[in-house]
Amino acid sequence: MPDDAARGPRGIVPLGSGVTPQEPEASTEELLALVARGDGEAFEKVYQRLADPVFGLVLQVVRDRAQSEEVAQEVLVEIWRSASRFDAGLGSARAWVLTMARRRAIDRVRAVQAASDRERRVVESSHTVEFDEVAEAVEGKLERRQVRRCLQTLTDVQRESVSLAFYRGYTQKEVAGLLGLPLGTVKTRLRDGLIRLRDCMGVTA
Amino acid sequence: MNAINGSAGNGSAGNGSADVHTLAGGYALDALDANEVAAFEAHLRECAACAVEVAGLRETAAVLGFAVATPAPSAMRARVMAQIARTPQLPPEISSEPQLPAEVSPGPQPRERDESKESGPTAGEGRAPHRIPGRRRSSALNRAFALAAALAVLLTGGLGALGWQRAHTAEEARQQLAQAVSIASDPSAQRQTASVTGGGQVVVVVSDGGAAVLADGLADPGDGKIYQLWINHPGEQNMRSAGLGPAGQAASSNWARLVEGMKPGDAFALSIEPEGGSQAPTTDPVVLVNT
Repeated sequence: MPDDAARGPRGIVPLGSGVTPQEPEASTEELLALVARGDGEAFEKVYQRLADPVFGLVLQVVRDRAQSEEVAQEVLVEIWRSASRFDAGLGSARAWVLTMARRRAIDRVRAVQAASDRERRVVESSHTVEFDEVAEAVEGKLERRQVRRCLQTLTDVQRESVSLAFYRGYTQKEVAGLLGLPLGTVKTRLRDGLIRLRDCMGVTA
Repeated sequence: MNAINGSAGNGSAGNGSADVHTLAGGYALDALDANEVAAFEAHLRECAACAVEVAGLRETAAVLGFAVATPAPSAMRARVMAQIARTPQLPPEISSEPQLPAEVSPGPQPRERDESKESGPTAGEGRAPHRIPGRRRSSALNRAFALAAALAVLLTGGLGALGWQRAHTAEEARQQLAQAVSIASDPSAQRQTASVTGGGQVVVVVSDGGAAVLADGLADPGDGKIYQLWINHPGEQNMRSAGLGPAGQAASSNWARLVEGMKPGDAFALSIEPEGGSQAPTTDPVVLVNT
Protein backbone atom coordinates (compact mmCIF):
# COMPACT_ATOMS: atom_id res chain seq x y z
CA MET A 1 0.00 0.00 0.00
CA PRO A 2 1.30 3.43 -0.77
CA ASP A 3 1.80 5.23 2.49
CA ASP A 4 2.12 8.74 1.23
CA ALA A 5 -0.12 11.66 1.89
CA ALA A 6 -1.96 11.06 -1.36
CA ARG A 7 -4.11 8.55 0.44
CA GLY A 8 -5.77 11.19 2.58
CA PRO A 9 -9.41 12.13 2.25
CA ARG A 10 -9.71 10.53 -1.14
CA GLY A 11 -9.12 7.21 0.53
CA ILE A 12 -12.45 7.48 2.27
CA VAL A 13 -14.71 8.28 -0.63
CA PRO A 14 -17.51 5.75 -0.72
CA LEU A 15 -17.50 3.30 -3.58
CA GLY A 16 -19.45 4.39 -6.56
CA SER A 17 -20.44 7.78 -5.23
CA GLY A 18 -18.01 9.64 -7.43
CA VAL A 19 -18.10 12.46 -4.90
CA THR A 20 -14.97 14.04 -3.53
CA PRO A 21 -15.38 15.92 -0.28
CA GLN A 22 -14.24 19.51 -0.29
CA GLU A 23 -12.10 19.78 2.77
CA PRO A 24 -10.63 23.13 3.64
CA GLU A 25 -8.36 21.55 6.20
CA ALA A 26 -6.02 18.62 5.99
CA SER A 27 -7.53 15.34 7.08
CA THR A 28 -6.14 13.71 10.17
CA GLU A 29 -4.76 11.00 7.88
CA GLU A 30 -2.82 13.62 5.92
CA LEU A 31 -1.60 15.22 9.12
CA LEU A 32 -0.29 11.88 10.35
CA ALA A 33 1.73 11.51 7.17
CA LEU A 34 3.36 14.85 8.00
CA VAL A 35 3.88 13.84 11.61
CA ALA A 36 5.69 10.75 10.37
CA ARG A 37 8.21 13.11 8.77
CA GLY A 38 8.76 14.92 12.04
CA ASP A 39 6.40 17.84 11.48
CA GLY A 40 5.67 19.28 14.92
CA GLU A 41 3.00 21.68 13.69
CA ALA A 42 1.08 18.82 12.16
CA PHE A 43 1.36 16.99 15.45
CA GLU A 44 -0.14 19.96 17.29
CA LYS A 45 -3.14 19.82 14.99
CA VAL A 46 -3.49 16.11 15.57
CA TYR A 47 -3.31 16.81 19.28
CA GLN A 48 -6.08 19.39 19.03
CA ARG A 49 -8.34 16.95 17.26
CA LEU A 50 -7.66 13.85 19.24
CA ALA A 51 -6.54 14.76 22.75
CA ASP A 52 -10.09 15.14 24.09
CA PRO A 53 -11.43 11.90 22.61
CA VAL A 54 -8.33 10.05 23.78
CA PHE A 55 -8.58 11.45 27.27
CA GLY A 56 -12.33 10.88 27.48
CA LEU A 57 -12.09 7.30 26.31
CA VAL A 58 -9.20 6.48 28.64
CA LEU A 59 -11.11 8.09 31.50
CA GLN A 60 -14.12 5.90 30.76
CA VAL A 61 -12.02 2.78 31.11
CA VAL A 62 -9.53 3.76 33.82
CA ARG A 63 -11.87 6.00 35.88
CA ASP A 64 -9.05 7.54 37.88
CA ARG A 65 -8.28 10.98 36.53
CA ALA A 66 -4.58 11.13 37.37
CA GLN A 67 -3.90 7.72 35.89
CA SER A 68 -6.02 8.54 32.86
CA GLU A 69 -3.89 11.57 32.24
CA GLU A 70 -0.74 9.45 32.32
CA VAL A 71 -2.19 6.93 29.91
CA ALA A 72 -3.55 9.59 27.56
CA GLN A 73 -0.14 11.26 27.53
CA GLU A 74 1.52 7.95 26.65
CA VAL A 75 -0.93 7.45 23.81
CA LEU A 76 -0.38 10.92 22.37
CA VAL A 77 3.38 10.50 22.45
CA GLU A 78 2.94 7.11 20.82
CA ILE A 79 1.11 8.81 17.93
CA TRP A 80 4.23 10.89 17.37
CA ARG A 81 6.54 7.92 17.72
CA SER A 82 4.74 5.49 15.45
CA ALA A 83 3.01 7.78 12.95
CA SER A 84 5.02 6.15 10.17
CA ARG A 85 3.29 2.85 10.91
CA PHE A 86 -0.17 4.24 10.33
CA ASP A 87 -1.64 2.91 7.09
CA ALA A 88 -4.65 4.86 5.87
CA GLY A 89 -5.57 1.92 3.69
CA LEU A 90 -6.36 -0.15 6.74
CA GLY A 91 -8.54 2.23 8.68
CA SER A 92 -9.08 5.83 9.65
CA ALA A 93 -6.66 7.82 11.79
CA ARG A 94 -9.22 8.14 14.54
CA ALA A 95 -9.79 4.38 14.66
CA TRP A 96 -6.04 3.83 14.83
CA VAL A 97 -5.59 6.29 17.66
CA LEU A 98 -8.67 5.38 19.67
CA THR A 99 -7.96 1.66 19.40
CA MET A 100 -4.50 2.35 20.76
CA ALA A 101 -5.97 4.47 23.55
CA ARG A 102 -8.45 1.81 24.56
CA ARG A 103 -5.82 -0.90 24.62
CA ARG A 104 -3.47 1.14 26.73
CA ALA A 105 -6.28 1.99 29.10
CA ILE A 106 -7.30 -1.63 29.42
CA ASP A 107 -3.70 -2.65 30.01
CA ARG A 108 -3.44 -0.08 32.75
CA VAL A 109 -6.57 -1.23 34.49
CA ARG A 110 -5.47 -4.84 34.30
CA ALA A 111 -2.03 -4.04 35.56
CA VAL A 112 -3.37 -2.13 38.50
CA GLN A 113 -6.09 -4.44 39.66
CA ALA A 114 -6.62 -8.15 39.76
CA ALA A 115 -9.54 -9.03 37.57
CA SER A 116 -11.53 -10.40 40.48
CA ASP A 117 -11.27 -7.12 42.39
CA ARG A 118 -12.38 -5.23 39.41
CA GLU A 119 -15.35 -7.40 38.76
CA ARG A 120 -16.50 -7.14 42.33
CA ARG A 121 -16.14 -3.40 42.21
CA VAL A 122 -18.23 -3.12 39.10
CA VAL A 123 -20.87 -5.58 40.18
CA GLU A 124 -21.33 -3.39 43.24
CA SER A 125 -21.72 -0.33 41.12
CA SER A 126 -23.84 0.22 38.08
CA HIS A 127 -23.49 -1.88 34.97
CA THR A 128 -24.23 0.81 32.52
CA VAL A 129 -22.25 3.75 31.30
CA GLU A 130 -23.88 7.00 32.23
CA PHE A 131 -24.30 8.69 28.91
CA ASP A 132 -26.19 11.59 30.38
CA GLU A 133 -23.33 12.36 32.70
CA VAL A 134 -20.87 12.13 29.86
CA ALA A 135 -23.05 14.22 27.62
CA GLU A 136 -22.70 17.21 29.86
CA ALA A 137 -18.94 17.19 29.50
CA VAL A 138 -18.90 17.79 25.79
CA GLU A 139 -21.86 19.46 24.22
CA GLY A 140 -23.23 20.17 20.83
CA LYS A 141 -21.51 17.38 19.03
CA LEU A 142 -23.36 15.83 16.17
CA GLU A 143 -21.62 12.57 16.82
CA ARG A 144 -22.64 12.45 20.41
CA ARG A 145 -26.27 12.88 19.47
CA GLN A 146 -25.90 10.30 16.76
CA VAL A 147 -24.29 7.81 19.08
CA ARG A 148 -26.87 8.36 21.76
CA ARG A 149 -29.73 8.02 19.34
CA CYS A 150 -28.22 4.95 17.77
CA LEU A 151 -27.50 3.34 21.12
CA GLN A 152 -31.20 3.71 21.87
CA THR A 153 -32.04 1.58 18.85
CA LEU A 154 -30.24 -1.37 20.42
CA THR A 155 -31.88 -3.89 22.69
CA ASP A 156 -30.96 -3.64 26.35
CA VAL A 157 -28.69 -6.65 26.12
CA GLN A 158 -26.98 -5.36 22.99
CA ARG A 159 -26.44 -1.96 24.53
CA GLU A 160 -25.13 -3.29 27.82
CA SER A 161 -22.85 -5.79 26.11
CA VAL A 162 -21.34 -3.20 23.78
CA SER A 163 -21.01 -0.63 26.56
CA LEU A 164 -19.31 -2.99 28.97
CA ALA A 165 -16.92 -4.29 26.33
CA PHE A 166 -16.13 -0.94 24.79
CA TYR A 167 -16.27 1.58 27.61
CA ARG A 168 -15.20 -0.72 30.40
CA GLY A 169 -12.83 -2.96 28.51
CA TYR A 170 -14.33 -6.27 29.57
CA THR A 171 -13.83 -9.46 27.66
CA GLN A 172 -16.98 -11.05 26.33
CA LYS A 173 -16.64 -13.76 28.99
CA GLU A 174 -16.58 -11.12 31.69
CA VAL A 175 -19.58 -9.43 30.14
CA ALA A 176 -21.43 -12.75 30.14
CA GLY A 177 -20.54 -13.26 33.80
CA LEU A 178 -21.60 -9.77 34.79
CA LEU A 179 -24.90 -9.91 32.97
CA GLY A 180 -25.60 -13.52 33.89
CA LEU A 181 -26.01 -14.50 30.25
CA PRO A 182 -24.68 -17.43 28.23
CA LEU A 183 -21.44 -16.60 26.43
CA GLY A 184 -23.01 -17.38 23.07
CA THR A 185 -25.66 -14.77 23.67
CA VAL A 186 -23.10 -12.12 24.48
CA LYS A 187 -21.04 -13.00 21.39
CA THR A 188 -23.97 -12.56 19.07
CA ARG A 189 -25.23 -9.44 20.86
CA LEU A 190 -21.84 -7.76 20.64
CA ARG A 191 -21.75 -8.36 16.92
CA ASP A 192 -25.41 -7.61 16.21
CA GLY A 193 -25.20 -4.52 18.35
CA LEU A 194 -22.12 -3.16 16.59
CA ILE A 195 -23.58 -3.90 13.18
CA ARG A 196 -26.76 -2.10 14.11
CA LEU A 197 -24.73 0.87 15.36
CA ARG A 198 -22.66 0.86 12.20
CA ASP A 199 -25.73 0.90 10.02
CA CYS A 200 -27.48 3.48 12.16
CA MET A 201 -24.53 5.85 12.23
CA GLY A 202 -23.61 5.26 8.63
CA VAL A 203 -26.95 5.85 6.99
CA THR A 204 -28.32 8.90 8.73
CA ALA A 205 -28.09 12.15 6.86
CA MET B 1 -15.48 -22.58 5.65
CA ASN B 2 -17.95 -20.48 3.83
CA ALA B 3 -16.39 -17.24 2.73
CA ILE B 4 -19.71 -15.67 1.89
CA ASN B 5 -20.92 -16.26 5.38
CA GLY B 6 -19.45 -13.00 6.54
CA SER B 7 -20.95 -10.81 3.87
CA ALA B 8 -20.24 -7.31 5.00
CA GLY B 9 -23.71 -5.87 4.97
CA ASN B 10 -25.44 -8.79 6.55
CA GLY B 11 -26.55 -8.40 10.10
CA SER B 12 -27.32 -12.05 10.62
CA ALA B 13 -24.96 -14.05 12.73
CA GLY B 14 -25.62 -17.28 10.88
CA ASN B 15 -27.79 -20.05 12.09
CA GLY B 16 -25.86 -21.14 15.15
CA SER B 17 -24.32 -19.25 18.03
CA ALA B 18 -21.30 -21.55 17.80
CA ASP B 19 -20.47 -20.00 14.44
CA VAL B 20 -16.97 -18.62 14.77
CA HIS B 21 -18.08 -15.66 12.75
CA THR B 22 -20.04 -14.28 15.67
CA LEU B 23 -16.67 -13.50 17.25
CA ALA B 24 -16.29 -10.56 14.86
CA GLY B 25 -17.91 -8.17 17.34
CA GLY B 26 -15.74 -9.22 20.26
CA TYR B 27 -12.69 -9.19 18.03
CA ALA B 28 -13.36 -5.65 16.85
CA LEU B 29 -13.67 -4.57 20.49
CA ASP B 30 -10.61 -6.56 21.68
CA ALA B 31 -12.94 -8.45 23.99
CA LEU B 32 -11.68 -11.94 23.16
CA ASP B 33 -9.32 -14.16 25.08
CA ALA B 34 -6.30 -15.77 23.43
CA ASN B 35 -8.10 -18.96 22.34
CA GLU B 36 -10.95 -17.03 20.82
CA VAL B 37 -8.57 -14.74 18.99
CA ALA B 38 -6.74 -17.74 17.56
CA ALA B 39 -10.01 -19.30 16.42
CA PHE B 40 -11.26 -16.12 14.85
CA GLU B 41 -7.98 -15.31 13.12
CA ALA B 42 -7.90 -18.80 11.65
CA HIS B 43 -11.34 -18.02 10.27
CA LEU B 44 -10.20 -14.60 9.05
CA ARG B 45 -7.54 -16.22 6.90
CA GLU B 46 -10.31 -17.92 4.98
CA CYS B 47 -12.73 -15.04 4.93
CA ALA B 48 -11.90 -11.66 3.44
CA ALA B 49 -15.46 -10.56 4.07
CA CYS B 50 -14.79 -11.01 7.78
CA ALA B 51 -11.78 -8.72 7.56
CA VAL B 52 -14.07 -6.24 5.89
CA GLU B 53 -16.59 -6.55 8.67
CA VAL B 54 -14.01 -6.20 11.40
CA ALA B 55 -12.61 -3.04 9.81
CA GLY B 56 -16.11 -1.56 9.63
CA LEU B 57 -16.89 -2.44 13.22
CA ARG B 58 -13.64 -0.90 14.39
CA GLU B 59 -14.57 2.33 12.65
CA THR B 60 -17.92 2.17 14.41
CA ALA B 61 -16.16 1.69 17.72
CA ALA B 62 -14.03 4.77 17.02
CA VAL B 63 -17.18 6.86 16.87
CA LEU B 64 -18.23 5.44 20.22
CA GLY B 65 -14.90 6.76 21.46
CA PHE B 66 -15.51 10.24 20.10
CA ALA B 67 -18.85 10.30 21.86
CA VAL B 68 -17.15 10.34 25.25
CA ALA B 69 -14.60 13.04 24.45
CA THR B 70 -13.72 14.96 27.59
CA PRO B 71 -11.59 18.10 27.75
CA ALA B 72 -8.04 16.96 28.40
CA PRO B 73 -6.19 18.64 31.26
CA SER B 74 -4.56 21.76 29.88
CA ALA B 75 -1.22 20.92 31.47
CA MET B 76 -1.08 17.68 29.51
CA ARG B 77 -0.47 19.48 26.27
CA ALA B 78 2.78 21.07 27.38
CA ARG B 79 4.00 17.77 28.80
CA VAL B 80 3.23 15.92 25.58
CA MET B 81 4.95 18.57 23.48
CA ALA B 82 8.00 18.46 25.73
CA GLN B 83 8.11 14.70 25.55
CA ILE B 84 7.85 14.43 21.78
CA ALA B 85 10.72 16.89 21.48
CA ARG B 86 12.97 14.19 22.94
CA THR B 87 11.25 11.11 21.53
CA PRO B 88 12.72 9.58 18.38
CA GLN B 89 10.29 8.39 15.74
CA LEU B 90 10.03 4.90 14.34
CA PRO B 91 11.09 4.51 10.73
CA PRO B 92 8.44 3.28 8.29
CA GLU B 93 8.12 -0.45 7.99
CA ILE B 94 9.81 -1.44 4.77
CA SER B 95 7.94 -4.42 3.48
CA SER B 96 6.54 -5.35 0.12
CA GLU B 97 4.23 -7.80 1.84
CA PRO B 98 0.82 -6.33 2.46
CA GLN B 99 -0.54 -6.90 5.90
CA LEU B 100 -2.72 -9.81 6.86
CA PRO B 101 -6.32 -9.11 7.65
CA ALA B 102 -5.65 -10.05 11.24
CA GLU B 103 -3.47 -6.99 11.23
CA VAL B 104 -6.25 -4.79 10.03
CA SER B 105 -6.39 -3.84 13.66
CA PRO B 106 -4.83 -0.46 14.04
CA GLY B 107 -2.28 0.19 16.68
CA PRO B 108 1.39 -0.47 17.14
CA GLN B 109 2.91 -3.91 17.37
CA PRO B 110 3.09 -5.44 20.84
CA ARG B 111 6.87 -5.49 20.77
CA GLU B 112 7.01 -1.81 20.02
CA ARG B 113 4.46 -1.07 22.65
CA ASP B 114 6.68 -2.62 25.27
CA GLU B 115 9.68 -0.62 24.16
CA SER B 116 7.74 2.57 24.34
CA LYS B 117 6.27 2.07 27.74
CA GLU B 118 7.81 4.00 30.50
CA SER B 119 6.69 1.47 33.04
CA GLY B 120 4.06 -1.06 33.78
CA PRO B 121 3.30 -4.54 32.57
CA THR B 122 1.53 -5.38 29.36
CA ALA B 123 -1.87 -6.93 28.88
CA GLY B 124 -3.25 -8.73 31.87
CA GLU B 125 -3.95 -12.39 32.07
CA GLY B 126 -6.84 -13.82 30.15
CA ARG B 127 -6.70 -11.28 27.36
CA ALA B 128 -5.20 -12.11 24.06
CA PRO B 129 -2.10 -10.38 22.78
CA HIS B 130 -3.16 -7.63 20.48
CA ARG B 131 -1.74 -9.19 17.40
CA ILE B 132 -0.84 -12.70 16.54
CA PRO B 133 1.36 -13.24 13.54
CA GLY B 134 -0.43 -15.30 10.95
CA ARG B 135 0.83 -17.65 8.32
CA ARG B 136 1.90 -15.88 5.20
CA ARG B 137 -0.43 -16.12 2.32
CA SER B 138 0.59 -15.67 -1.23
CA SER B 139 1.41 -12.09 -2.06
CA ALA B 140 -1.55 -11.66 -4.40
CA LEU B 141 -3.94 -13.10 -1.83
CA ASN B 142 -2.55 -10.78 0.82
CA ARG B 143 -2.96 -7.92 -1.57
CA ALA B 144 -6.56 -8.86 -2.26
CA PHE B 145 -7.32 -9.18 1.43
CA ALA B 146 -5.64 -5.93 2.34
CA LEU B 147 -7.54 -4.15 -0.40
CA ALA B 148 -10.79 -5.72 0.67
CA ALA B 149 -10.19 -4.46 4.18
CA ALA B 150 -9.34 -1.03 2.83
CA LEU B 151 -12.55 -1.02 0.86
CA ALA B 152 -14.49 -1.79 4.00
CA VAL B 153 -13.16 1.43 5.40
CA LEU B 154 -14.61 3.25 2.44
CA LEU B 155 -18.02 1.86 3.26
CA THR B 156 -17.92 3.19 6.75
CA GLY B 157 -15.91 6.23 5.76
CA GLY B 158 -18.95 8.34 6.51
CA LEU B 159 -18.05 7.88 10.11
CA GLY B 160 -14.71 9.45 9.40
CA ALA B 161 -13.96 12.47 7.31
CA LEU B 162 -17.07 12.48 5.19
CA GLY B 163 -19.97 13.01 7.47
CA TRP B 164 -22.97 10.77 7.21
CA GLN B 165 -23.63 8.88 4.04
CA ARG B 166 -26.85 8.42 2.21
CA ALA B 167 -28.41 5.03 2.64
CA HIS B 168 -28.66 4.02 -0.97
CA THR B 169 -25.06 4.88 -1.67
CA ALA B 170 -23.79 2.94 1.30
CA GLU B 171 -26.04 0.00 0.55
CA GLU B 172 -25.12 -0.20 -3.12
CA ALA B 173 -21.49 0.11 -2.28
CA ARG B 174 -21.77 -2.54 0.36
CA GLN B 175 -23.49 -4.97 -1.96
CA GLN B 176 -20.95 -4.48 -4.67
CA LEU B 177 -18.12 -4.87 -2.22
CA ALA B 178 -19.68 -7.92 -0.62
CA GLN B 179 -19.81 -9.65 -3.99
CA ALA B 180 -16.29 -8.61 -4.88
CA VAL B 181 -14.85 -9.78 -1.59
CA SER B 182 -16.71 -13.06 -1.66
CA ILE B 183 -15.05 -13.71 -5.00
CA ALA B 184 -11.72 -12.45 -3.67
CA SER B 185 -11.98 -14.74 -0.66
CA ASP B 186 -12.70 -17.90 -2.63
CA PRO B 187 -9.66 -20.06 -1.82
CA SER B 188 -9.75 -21.69 -5.24
CA ALA B 189 -9.79 -18.37 -7.10
CA GLN B 190 -6.85 -17.24 -9.21
CA ARG B 191 -5.33 -13.93 -8.26
CA GLN B 192 -2.88 -11.77 -10.06
CA THR B 193 -1.39 -8.48 -9.06
CA ALA B 194 -0.20 -6.04 -11.69
CA SER B 195 1.21 -2.54 -11.72
CA VAL B 196 -0.69 0.06 -13.66
CA THR B 197 0.91 2.54 -16.04
CA GLY B 198 0.68 5.93 -14.39
CA GLY B 199 0.73 4.46 -10.89
CA GLY B 200 -1.12 2.07 -8.63
CA GLN B 201 -1.93 -1.57 -8.74
CA VAL B 202 -4.78 -3.89 -9.53
CA VAL B 203 -5.55 -7.37 -8.29
CA VAL B 204 -7.57 -9.45 -10.71
CA VAL B 205 -9.42 -12.34 -9.11
CA VAL B 206 -11.09 -15.02 -11.19
CA SER B 207 -13.12 -17.78 -9.61
CA ASP B 208 -15.78 -20.18 -10.81
CA GLY B 209 -18.34 -17.88 -9.25
CA GLY B 210 -17.22 -14.76 -11.10
CA ALA B 211 -14.40 -12.28 -11.41
CA ALA B 212 -13.52 -9.05 -9.69
CA VAL B 213 -10.88 -6.38 -9.95
CA LEU B 214 -9.63 -4.50 -6.91
CA ALA B 215 -7.75 -1.28 -7.63
CA ASP B 216 -5.56 0.84 -5.46
CA GLY B 217 -3.85 4.16 -6.03
CA LEU B 218 -4.52 4.59 -9.75
CA ALA B 219 -3.90 7.94 -11.38
CA ASP B 220 -6.77 10.34 -11.87
CA PRO B 221 -7.86 9.64 -15.47
CA GLY B 222 -8.48 13.35 -16.07
CA ASP B 223 -11.51 15.53 -16.73
CA GLY B 224 -14.26 13.77 -18.61
CA LYS B 225 -12.35 10.48 -18.56
CA ILE B 226 -13.02 7.18 -16.92
CA TYR B 227 -11.36 3.80 -16.47
CA GLN B 228 -13.05 1.14 -18.55
CA LEU B 229 -12.70 -2.59 -17.93
CA TRP B 230 -12.07 -4.98 -20.82
CA ILE B 231 -11.84 -8.71 -21.23
CA ASN B 232 -10.57 -10.82 -24.03
CA HIS B 233 -11.57 -14.45 -24.45
CA PRO B 234 -8.90 -16.76 -25.88
CA GLY B 235 -9.20 -16.95 -29.65
CA GLU B 236 -11.20 -13.78 -29.99
CA GLN B 237 -9.71 -10.79 -31.69
CA ASN B 238 -11.51 -7.95 -29.98
CA MET B 239 -11.71 -6.78 -26.43
CA ARG B 240 -15.17 -6.76 -24.90
CA SER B 241 -16.25 -4.12 -22.46
CA ALA B 242 -16.70 -5.47 -18.94
CA GLY B 243 -17.98 -2.30 -17.34
CA LEU B 244 -16.75 1.07 -16.14
CA GLY B 245 -14.58 2.05 -13.24
CA PRO B 246 -14.84 5.31 -11.35
CA ALA B 247 -14.25 8.70 -12.97
CA GLY B 248 -12.09 11.54 -11.80
CA GLN B 249 -10.46 11.54 -8.41
CA ALA B 250 -12.60 8.66 -7.15
CA ALA B 251 -10.56 6.45 -9.48
CA SER B 252 -7.46 7.03 -7.45
CA SER B 253 -8.94 5.87 -4.17
CA ASN B 254 -9.53 2.19 -3.56
CA TRP B 255 -12.27 0.67 -5.62
CA ALA B 256 -13.58 -2.68 -6.73
CA ARG B 257 -15.72 -3.85 -9.62
CA LEU B 258 -17.19 -7.14 -10.63
CA VAL B 259 -15.85 -8.14 -14.04
CA GLU B 260 -18.83 -9.56 -15.85
CA GLY B 261 -18.37 -12.50 -18.13
CA MET B 262 -14.73 -13.09 -17.28
CA LYS B 263 -13.52 -16.70 -16.99
CA PRO B 264 -10.18 -18.29 -16.16
CA GLY B 265 -7.92 -17.98 -19.17
CA ASP B 266 -9.31 -14.63 -20.26
CA ALA B 267 -7.17 -11.54 -20.43
CA PHE B 268 -8.16 -8.46 -18.46
CA ALA B 269 -7.30 -4.88 -19.33
CA LEU B 270 -8.03 -1.34 -18.19
CA SER B 271 -7.93 1.68 -20.44
CA ILE B 272 -8.78 5.34 -20.04
CA GLU B 273 -11.84 6.26 -22.10
CA PRO B 274 -14.18 9.21 -22.48
CA GLU B 275 -16.86 9.33 -19.81
CA GLY B 276 -19.66 6.96 -20.71
CA GLY B 277 -17.22 4.39 -22.09
CA SER B 278 -16.27 3.21 -25.54
CA GLN B 279 -17.28 0.30 -27.78
CA ALA B 280 -13.65 -0.70 -28.12
CA PRO B 281 -10.50 0.61 -26.42
CA THR B 282 -9.44 3.96 -27.91
CA THR B 283 -6.21 4.18 -25.92
CA ASP B 284 -3.46 1.73 -25.02
CA PRO B 285 -4.38 -0.29 -21.95
CA VAL B 286 -2.79 0.94 -18.72
CA VAL B 287 -2.69 -2.62 -17.51
CA LEU B 288 -3.08 -6.00 -19.15
CA VAL B 289 -3.34 -9.20 -17.13
CA ASN B 290 -3.40 -12.68 -18.61
CA THR B 291 -5.17 -15.11 -16.34
